[in-house]
Amino acid sequence: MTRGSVAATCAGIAAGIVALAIPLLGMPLLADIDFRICALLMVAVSWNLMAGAGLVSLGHSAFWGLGAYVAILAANDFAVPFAASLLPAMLAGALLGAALALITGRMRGIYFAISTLAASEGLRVLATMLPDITGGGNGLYLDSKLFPGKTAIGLAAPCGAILAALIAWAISRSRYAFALRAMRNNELASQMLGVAPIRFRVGIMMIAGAIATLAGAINAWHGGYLDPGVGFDLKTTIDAQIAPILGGVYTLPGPIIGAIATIGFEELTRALFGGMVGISLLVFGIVLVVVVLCMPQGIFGLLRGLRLPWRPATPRAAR
Amino acid sequence: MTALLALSNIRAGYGESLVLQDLSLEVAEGEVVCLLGANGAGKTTTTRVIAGLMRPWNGEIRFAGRNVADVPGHLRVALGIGLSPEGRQIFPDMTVHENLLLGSYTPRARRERPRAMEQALALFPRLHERLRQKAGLMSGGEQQMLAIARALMSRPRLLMLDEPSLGLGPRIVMDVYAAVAETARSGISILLVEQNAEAALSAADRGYVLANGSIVASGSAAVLRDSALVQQAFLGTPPSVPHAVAK
Repeated sequence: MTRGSVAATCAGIAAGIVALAIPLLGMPLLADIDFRICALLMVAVSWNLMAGAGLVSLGHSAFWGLGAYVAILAANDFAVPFAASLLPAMLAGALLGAALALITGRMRGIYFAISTLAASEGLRVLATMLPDITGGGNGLYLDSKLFPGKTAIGLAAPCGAILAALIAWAISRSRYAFALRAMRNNELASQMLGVAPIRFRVGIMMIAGAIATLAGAINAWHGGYLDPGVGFDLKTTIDAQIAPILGGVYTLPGPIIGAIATIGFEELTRALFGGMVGISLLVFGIVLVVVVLCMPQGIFGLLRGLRLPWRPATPRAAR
Repeated sequence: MTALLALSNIRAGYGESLVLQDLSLEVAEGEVVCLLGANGAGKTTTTRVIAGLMRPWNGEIRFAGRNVADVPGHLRVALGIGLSPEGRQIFPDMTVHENLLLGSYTPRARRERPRAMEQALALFPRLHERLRQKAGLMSGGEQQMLAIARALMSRPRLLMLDEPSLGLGPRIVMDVYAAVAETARSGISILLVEQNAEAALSAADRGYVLANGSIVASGSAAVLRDSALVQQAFLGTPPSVPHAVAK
């Protein structure tokens, strides 16, 4: 391992410990920020996994919302407790991922992106049209008898985030990372060399789907209320890609750094300009544009550039 | 000689439009065969059908005595069909080394990877100098060499080269064709798909001429080179040389 990767590993482990410790400190504001970072981190890692295979998603709110509905409906209708409700949610996310992969087939680029956007909008409309199950536009309240307590939910988010990061790490170390990169570069050529793109698409979208639905499910327990607009909010989709792009797209630490930076930055602008409605969002937007223009490799790219004398870590070759 | 590859009565196209009609051709073990044709004749479609990137409407594709029409593209590589595609289709953001490693993605090729790498780099020493460079930053000729080397990394029995001379200067075309000849000497069958008839016929044992999706002429390279059809269509010789001289 290079010195850079040792430092990155230590930083990752330290961040995991801090994220797990914060819910236990009994500081609500800090715990809320911790929760939001972890939830965003999960969708960001999920989005980045798909983007790494050339699949740019505009539909991460589909996974998020699906996870929220499955978890809350499992709790309300079948009295499934918190932890157990996360499993069917992840299963549903994996199935949605597989279905999307099979339906989109060989679509790439904007065609794929639009299909995922359509999936997310379709699910939102479906949730509105099934009021008997989802409560429709009136929404659903989580059965408060089942509420496991703020600490349990606060701890679930960092656990999920660590799990997501570990999965992304394991994939980046496997020889599949190589095939996925080749697919992103040129899917047809990768097929000519013996890579079965559809198999990789289904696999990566099942994993990414399960991670993003897990985030949505934990968040639904956190919020306690759900309607189609909240569940399938376009903002989830946008945030899912802002974080990795800000942090460093296609890289392992990118979405993690990006999630911390995005939430930290949102909090900062809110603290500075919170009094003026809309101004904090405007400032956030402007800074985001500047950051993307000036550092296309994201924060991680900037950090990597800083330690040039150490020789940048080259990606591992396939084994 | 037994046929390694035999296409019979292939019909294929995109959507409503028919591209290949009733195409039949053969490549024997160890043979270099060229497929000549103008733009839009169906040359690339033929390579796509053989490589399994596109399913023919009907007809039979036999490879090494087995009907492979239903074998999907990513598995045909493992059977021994290697393609250096039109437009090279290298992975531009990956290094030359990584491109080559991806060439031996199938389990069988992976076992023979060190040997294949050694041979590929011996064939194209230029690539050896550029191993750590991003493939997209190389010249067109080097990218073409990489595409061929990458196809060879899969340890093919049949190597298909789709327009290897496209867009290259004459010197580089000679280098590429020298490597093709070298590959042929090692016993690998080659299907050379070209618009550049002169280069292709100089390297091939036999050839086919494709026009409007069907074979209009075939024969040994020498016969084809002298045929009026090839002369007029590809070699640019004026239709009636004696007449021109008489003038």
